[in-house]
Amino acid sequence: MFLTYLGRELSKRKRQTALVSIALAIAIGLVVIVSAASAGINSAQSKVLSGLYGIGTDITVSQSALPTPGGARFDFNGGGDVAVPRGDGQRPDFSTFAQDRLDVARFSATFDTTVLNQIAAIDGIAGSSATLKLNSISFKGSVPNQSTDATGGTGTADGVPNPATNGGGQGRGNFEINSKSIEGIDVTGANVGPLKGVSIDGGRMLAASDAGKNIAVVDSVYATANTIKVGDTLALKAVNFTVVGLISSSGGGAETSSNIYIPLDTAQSLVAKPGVVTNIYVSAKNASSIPAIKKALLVILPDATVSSQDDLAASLTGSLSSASGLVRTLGKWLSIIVLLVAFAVAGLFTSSGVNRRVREFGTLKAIGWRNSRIVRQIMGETFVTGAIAALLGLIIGTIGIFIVNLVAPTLSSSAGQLSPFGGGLPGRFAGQQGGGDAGGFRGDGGFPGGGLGGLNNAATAVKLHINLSMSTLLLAISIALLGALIAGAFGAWRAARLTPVSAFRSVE
Amino acid sequence: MSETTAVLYEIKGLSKRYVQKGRNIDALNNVDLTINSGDLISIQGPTGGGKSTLLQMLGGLDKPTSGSISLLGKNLETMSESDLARTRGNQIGFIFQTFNLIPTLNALENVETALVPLGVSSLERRERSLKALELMGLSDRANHLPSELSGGQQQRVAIARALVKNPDVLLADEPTGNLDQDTRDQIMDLLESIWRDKGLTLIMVTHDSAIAKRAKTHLIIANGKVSVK
Repeated sequence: MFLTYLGRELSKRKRQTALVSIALAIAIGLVVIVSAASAGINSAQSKVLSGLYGIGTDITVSQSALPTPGGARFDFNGGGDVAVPRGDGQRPDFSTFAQDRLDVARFSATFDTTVLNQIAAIDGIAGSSATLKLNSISFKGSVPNQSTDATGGTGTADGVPNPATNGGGQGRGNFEINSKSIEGIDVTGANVGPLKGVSIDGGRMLAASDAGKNIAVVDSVYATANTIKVGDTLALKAVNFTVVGLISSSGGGAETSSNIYIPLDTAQSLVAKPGVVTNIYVSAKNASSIPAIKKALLVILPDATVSSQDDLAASLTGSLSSASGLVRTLGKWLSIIVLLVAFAVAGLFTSSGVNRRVREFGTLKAIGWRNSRIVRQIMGETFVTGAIAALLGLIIGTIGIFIVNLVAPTLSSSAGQLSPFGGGLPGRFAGQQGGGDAGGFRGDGGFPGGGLGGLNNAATAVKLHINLSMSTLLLAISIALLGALIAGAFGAWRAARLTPVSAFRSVE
Repeated sequence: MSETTAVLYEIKGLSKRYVQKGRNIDALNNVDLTINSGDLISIQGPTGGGKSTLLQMLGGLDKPTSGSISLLGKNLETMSESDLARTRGNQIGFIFQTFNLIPTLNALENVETALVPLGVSSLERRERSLKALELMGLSDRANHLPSELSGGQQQRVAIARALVKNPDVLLADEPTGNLDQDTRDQIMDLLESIWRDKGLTLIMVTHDSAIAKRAKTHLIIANGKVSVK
């Protein structure tokens, strides 16, 4: 009788069943889309973060450092450069020059590798590795010659002419700057680090046998931009490196954290800084131990910046971050409001349904039905209504997800704020007196601090793709049934309070 | 009352007071009454005189303000809601003026609802309900919804629902109030034949003197007081 009665009630009162189901279904559809979009955005963030820090990294450690006095200084003098003679055989009009600088990434402090042993001893750590971040800047071009007594001046790091050095002169030079980021990687098989989980687009990954060798793997985006192929040779500080592989982020085309990766010991040798690293990557055994590990790391390295994945995610900027904010705030509140309205609509319809059925329930009580049986009947009806709503809601949600995926909005993101690899090139170019041939830049020719910063802040574009996950599915079903049961409970409570006399009262 | 055997209802000093808009209304005032098994009783009286209130007390649907009412020796006023529901389910059949059929269930299923509280199996429920409908001459309307039946047919379904559980007493509230004269007579003939054949007690509230006169005992209620006519 329970099922017969239930089925007849729902089928004969189609309008009420449809209204309650549709109200709940719209709310559930919205929750499904928002929740799937949230998961999709989280996934996109993970892709961006894994591109920058590698899959499995829970905590990164780095330390900022103030620029060393003098900055990244390029010195030009007559002796090392080539003068372009004028056609009349007199003094050359221009001098050309080309210089490479390779050093530890600006604003990055170094750690001694011995701290790795201390870090490895922290409870809850599953693995750790360290890298050495380097910056290579090549500068080549030509500058106009001055009169023999011309004296170049120097600019200061903040770009203000230095009158003491008599900055001045003419600045019609022609030059180009090329910078790239290089990262020395632990090739001994660490289970964490920036290259963990990257995709190999060509050639191979660095292996333990590559330690100490002059070989490199190159980020595919950088390689494409600079027409670098596997087997090519790259010159870093006049040392030739053979490209053995091309890689990209597992996030599907996203850039990795550096342009070029070489063995850690080779990187240390290149800058003559053995036994130092700039970045430490840590993976935790479980998420709950991350806060404790962060604390322990700060005890060992009190001046370091220790960032968890949450901190890193918060550091993302760009449309991905905006979308994330939109989904987490507007989407969340919109879902909550729509859900509350849907619950209220379901409750009101169920309640009005009970009002319409006062005589029916009174009669059933008069012929011996207990309250519990009537409550069960009402709850059963609303439960099935909820199940119908869940199904409709999932259909609405799936259509919404399909539309989002059809549009596939491209979200860009960069992790500039916390990036330990950024920093500028606040160097100064000093026109030196030397040989009488070197023309000095004007004193205000210094690059302003941070002018070339953000080498690793390149925006990563990720297409938003959202899926209907099992957790979203369960969430939708739970919400539908919960909403229906809340509405049903309200109606059942009203029905339970009816007395069997209601069967007569409506007649009088 | 009747000279038959056992006492069905024993009512002593029964009063029911309602408070309406700050005024006390005594629907029943110190009523003493004995009803024996097998009686056929009609209750008449002016509107608001307490007819329906007395019927509700007899059916265990409402509790008195004071006094006692017992059915086959069991006090209804002290019973729990659960026991009252069981008593109504097992011993009392109701017939309402407006039939009170469940609009979404067909005739057969409406009759079956009376057997649900008794824990009867679905197969037996169906068999007994079909027999009850057959007795009412409605076996060919078993699958019809109430809205597809005439008033007389609906009341016969309601009577089948009241009878299917073989109650000790049948309480009818204006059973012919919504019917035309021909149908009214048919229904009364049917109720009388059931009362006679099954030996149950039939108590009906009515405004219709013609119907009231067919009862063996005729009670009048006015201002909460009961008298035998």
